[in-house]
Amino acid sequence: MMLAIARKEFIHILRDRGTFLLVTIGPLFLMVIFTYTLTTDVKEAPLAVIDLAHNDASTALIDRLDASPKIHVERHLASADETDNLFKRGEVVAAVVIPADYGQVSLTRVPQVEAIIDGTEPISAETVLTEVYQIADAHSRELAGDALQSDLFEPPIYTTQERLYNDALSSKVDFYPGLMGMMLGLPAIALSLSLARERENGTLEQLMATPIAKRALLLGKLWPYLGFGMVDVYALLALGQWVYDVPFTGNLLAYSLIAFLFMFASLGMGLVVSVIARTQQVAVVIAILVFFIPPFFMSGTFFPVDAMPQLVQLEMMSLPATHFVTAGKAIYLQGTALRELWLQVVLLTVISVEMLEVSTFIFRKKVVGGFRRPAPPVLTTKENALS
Amino acid sequence: METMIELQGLSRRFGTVTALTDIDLTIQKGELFGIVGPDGAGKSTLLRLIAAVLDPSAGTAHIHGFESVREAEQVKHHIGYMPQRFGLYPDLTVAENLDFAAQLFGVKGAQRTERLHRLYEFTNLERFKSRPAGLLSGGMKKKLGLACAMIHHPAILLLDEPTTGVDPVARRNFWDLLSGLHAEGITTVVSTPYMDEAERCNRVAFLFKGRVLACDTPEHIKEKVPGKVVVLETSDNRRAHQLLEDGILILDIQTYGEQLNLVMQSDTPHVLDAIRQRLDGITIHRLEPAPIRMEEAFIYLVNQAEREVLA
Ligand SMILES: Nc1ncnc2c1ncn2[C@@H]1O[C@H](COP(=O)(O)OP(=O)(O)OP(=O)(O)O)[C@@H](O)[C@H]1O
Ligand SMILES: [Mg+2]
Repeated sequence: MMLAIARKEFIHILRDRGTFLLVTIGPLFLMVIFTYTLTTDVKEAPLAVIDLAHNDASTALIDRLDASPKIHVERHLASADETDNLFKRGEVVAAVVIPADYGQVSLTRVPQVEAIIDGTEPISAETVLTEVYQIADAHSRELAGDALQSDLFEPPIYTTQERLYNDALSSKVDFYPGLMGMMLGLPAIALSLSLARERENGTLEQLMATPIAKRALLLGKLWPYLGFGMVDVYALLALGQWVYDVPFTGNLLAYSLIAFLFMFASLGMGLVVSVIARTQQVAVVIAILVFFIPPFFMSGTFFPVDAMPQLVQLEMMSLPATHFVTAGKAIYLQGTALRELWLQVVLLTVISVEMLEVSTFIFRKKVVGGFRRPAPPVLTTKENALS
Repeated sequence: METMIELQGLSRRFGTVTALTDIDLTIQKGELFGIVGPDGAGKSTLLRLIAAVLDPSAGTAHIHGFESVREAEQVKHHIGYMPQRFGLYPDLTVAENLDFAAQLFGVKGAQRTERLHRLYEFTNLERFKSRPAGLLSGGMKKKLGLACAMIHHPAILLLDEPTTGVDPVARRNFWDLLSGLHAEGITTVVSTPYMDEAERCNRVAFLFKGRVLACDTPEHIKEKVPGKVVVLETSDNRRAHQLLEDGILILDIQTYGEQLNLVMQSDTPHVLDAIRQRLDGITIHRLEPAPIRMEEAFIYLVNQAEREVLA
């Protein structure tokens, strides 16, 4: 019977264009859009300049920096000491220190600028850094003219201002495996819709009048989405490997296991949403709140987990995406062995079983009161008390 | 006789709305039982309670010996339920829908082949095998629904308004199918808002505002109307209605579009003359005795029930 449901659901996915796109190219498409906006859309990022040279060369460089569409020179500082405060207040994302001897090109040395970057703003900072590097490099080459051999050139130096958590500058490489947790929420969203759709279309009433077991019905619905979800996992890995140059260093089998458990757990949550939501509209709103927003903010992709309030941290522990991001990132980027990630494996398994049990328990094969609610408190009225 | 469905004191509320009040019904094996009533009478609610996809607020239902709340899942092995709304998958083809139903009920192998063959023959759906169910005509959809509900040879068929939204030819056709099933001894409970369809059932329950007004064979129900029906058409029906309302000979006046049906104690020429006299000044187009139909019986019972409420 479970197989019958799975087969039928598979046909639905194949024949409904919206669902099909959502569970096939949806995650890839979203990933491309997301990484695109994250990496290239930095405009007029605020920059602080510490000009220790105060000469024609330094003024010319500052003008060029300001002229770049990606950078806006926001502040002029006397020393680099103030940058930390500005970073904290979010006024600038990077600072450029121009050394006192800037522009004094000798036969042995070309003075270079130093960039300080806010470690908590890795995405815009990386773009700013690249831009500063190119402008400064081009400028100093012009100053030196043909007189110098190119091997004397040193690239501009950059330092990262350490704050909170990022000890190395984050980049695509760091956030790609994390973002996967978010993109892979799409199959779960599609699953959330499916039971609500049957309720709306009246096909659920027909199903309820058959002897199908609740668990067979719910699990049967889950499997096809799990299949598509795993295809998405490998497609995203391929995209990372060959398009975004994020090399996969770990064990593919270990990664597959983690991804499988994650997909199962989050689809299980999708089932719970599906049982509770009466309409597709409600389902989609809950699903986005559950599968999209939290992984984005909470799974440590962009914001440090340790810095969050304890309550939020606790809530995150119940989200499959959190564990997937932790374990997936470790395998993907550091090649961590599976046995070191036993905690994540256990937690994902627990969430999977729990979600399946909860959805089966609260689902009711009744057209009205389609799910079990907590019993209302017993009110003792006067009559009750008297009798 | 074997009792297939037994309802005792069955009620169902939805918030403040009471959809069904204190229903007692017993349906025997092999009956073609009609639940007849206007929109909102509670027909669907009653069928859902019998199909165990809805729990009663009070009372009990036993279906094939199983209690509908505690033993809901056992009930489902013995019923074939066709909801009022098309409950099959529009994106699946006719064959896929039937296959799915067969799998759900564990019908496989040679048995499956044989049953599918018979159902295709019975419903004439073979030609449309590979057509998506959503693209079938209204009548064909209902036939497919019936076929899917019968794939496991249920002891009881529950059909909720199987002929609503279906053209007259397809309606007749569908009822011929039901009569065929009746001949085979299958217990069928069918709801309908159409009084003429009620005539084709061997027993009928008249449902009105959640109550059973009468439950009997069509003949007996018609006999409940104490008297004769006289059809009256005039130039001013409203005025005629007023003039005749308090007549002692007239038990009930029913409006049917351009025509008034007078339920009379007698329809002798003498009585008809008395009516003519009363309607002095109004042009009478038609005044003649007519046979009593289910329709008149139903309206008579409804009016009587309303008078009781007022009294
Ligand atoms: N799920 C529900 N929630 C609230 N009220 C309901 C629900 N189902 C039915 N009702 C109410 O119960 C009453 C009976 O409805 P029901 O659908 O059983 O009537 P019906 O005879 O099948 O009518 P129809 O010919 O329109 O199908 C109506 O007043 C209806 O509004
Ligand atoms: Mg109805």
